Amino acid sequence: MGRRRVFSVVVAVGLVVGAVVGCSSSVKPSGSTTSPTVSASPSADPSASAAAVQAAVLDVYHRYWDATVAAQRGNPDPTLFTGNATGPLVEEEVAQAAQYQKLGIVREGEPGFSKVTVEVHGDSAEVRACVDYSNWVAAGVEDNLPDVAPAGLRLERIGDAWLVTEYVKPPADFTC
Amino acid sequence: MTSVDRRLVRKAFAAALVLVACVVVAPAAKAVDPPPGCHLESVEDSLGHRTYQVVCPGDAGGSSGGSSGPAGPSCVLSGLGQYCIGTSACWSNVPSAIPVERWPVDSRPSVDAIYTYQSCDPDPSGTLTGWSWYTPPQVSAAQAAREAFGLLVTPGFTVGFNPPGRAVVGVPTWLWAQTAQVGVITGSSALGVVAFGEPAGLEVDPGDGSGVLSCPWSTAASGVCAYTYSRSSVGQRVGPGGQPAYAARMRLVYRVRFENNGAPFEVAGLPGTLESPWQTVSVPVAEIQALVTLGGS
Repeated sequence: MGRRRVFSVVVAVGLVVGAVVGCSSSVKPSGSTTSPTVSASPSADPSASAAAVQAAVLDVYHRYWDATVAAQRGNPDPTLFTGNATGPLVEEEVAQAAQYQKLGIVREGEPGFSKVTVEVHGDSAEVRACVDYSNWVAAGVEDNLPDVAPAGLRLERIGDAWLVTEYVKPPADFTC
Repeated sequence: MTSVDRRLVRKAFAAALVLVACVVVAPAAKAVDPPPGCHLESVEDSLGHRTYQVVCPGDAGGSSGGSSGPAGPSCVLSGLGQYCIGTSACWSNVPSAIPVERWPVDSRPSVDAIYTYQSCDPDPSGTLTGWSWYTPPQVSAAQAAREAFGLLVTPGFTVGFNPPGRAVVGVPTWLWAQTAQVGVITGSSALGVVAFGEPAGLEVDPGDGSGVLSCPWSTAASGVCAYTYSRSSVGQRVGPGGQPAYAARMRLVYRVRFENNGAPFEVAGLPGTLESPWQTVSVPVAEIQALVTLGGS
């Protein structure tokens, strides 16, 4: 399938994701076990290509989260985001990690993911998930927010690589 | 963005960088706690991006408060906000998170320019947020030398004298500086300019009105620096020992030279010597009358 061919892939990903993506991410999705559902057009055999694309997108998605977790553990190193994110988002993540380091905040553990959903439109993709923050915490921080909340990230295909570019608000009907 | 916009951004950014230079340049390795009375709180923005913020009493909406000038806050600093440009709260990465090898060097104004990123909220015109080149003010070697000179610190010392406890009219009184640091002192600037203060001598005011005399460097009891009092200290202010005493003073004198990356460096306009603060000691001086008798048979 040509990279500029427009198709749409909607995948509800559960534990299947690990096998599909085959990534080495330490931040693994959890929760839903729904099998991937793929819809695409106008390719004659969209499933294989769509699966490959969503796998690539999810790989980058989880590598971005890995980098964020590492950065907020006291390591505001921009190179953590090389190959998984770009643009103002990286600047913000690095600034955030630097501020945490300055304040002595070390966020331990890692977030959990469930109800991971991938939507691809040509060279743009959006990954939504219910993110569980309960095991990704810093000591001494007052946290009155729900442990699990919806979060969305936009990815763009730049050259041959998918890269996370920004946070996006999940639709209102995406609940956790 | 028009060229005018870009100029505005550059000007605003340069001004802002001056304000936050200490924040940006300072090493971030040392962990600090939130300001007294403040605490860290988990917050979530409208996009679901969850971060920690410092929240202080009286802050509105989880802000940390702050101002870019002495007249009071012109914006509300919260989250990453480091400084204000007008009513916009801004933060910056200097350098930006973009790897050096990917900087757009074609537009680099000079080899010293750093590719930086600034984000401001609100930014209604869209001219405050983005990447731009920033050229830090150049520090000349002469400025660095002045900085190094200012970093020279003379050691603490006390004034020693002998005969111990009480000097005697007509008998040379030894004077010396008692200090744990007897050698060269140094001050180093960021640009590799080092100021060296080499022990040159002592200045001594015996306290009897005779004026200041110069002595060779002396940090041990010896006659290298000596003064002979001609009158007793009777009538002077009573010293700590309960006896009238002269208030003798001493200071250390260093000869100052500079090196720039190891090579001798001459700096016009800076003093060639550095003197320590004066240290005072009470020196009681007694007059001893001797009676000489001739022995008889």
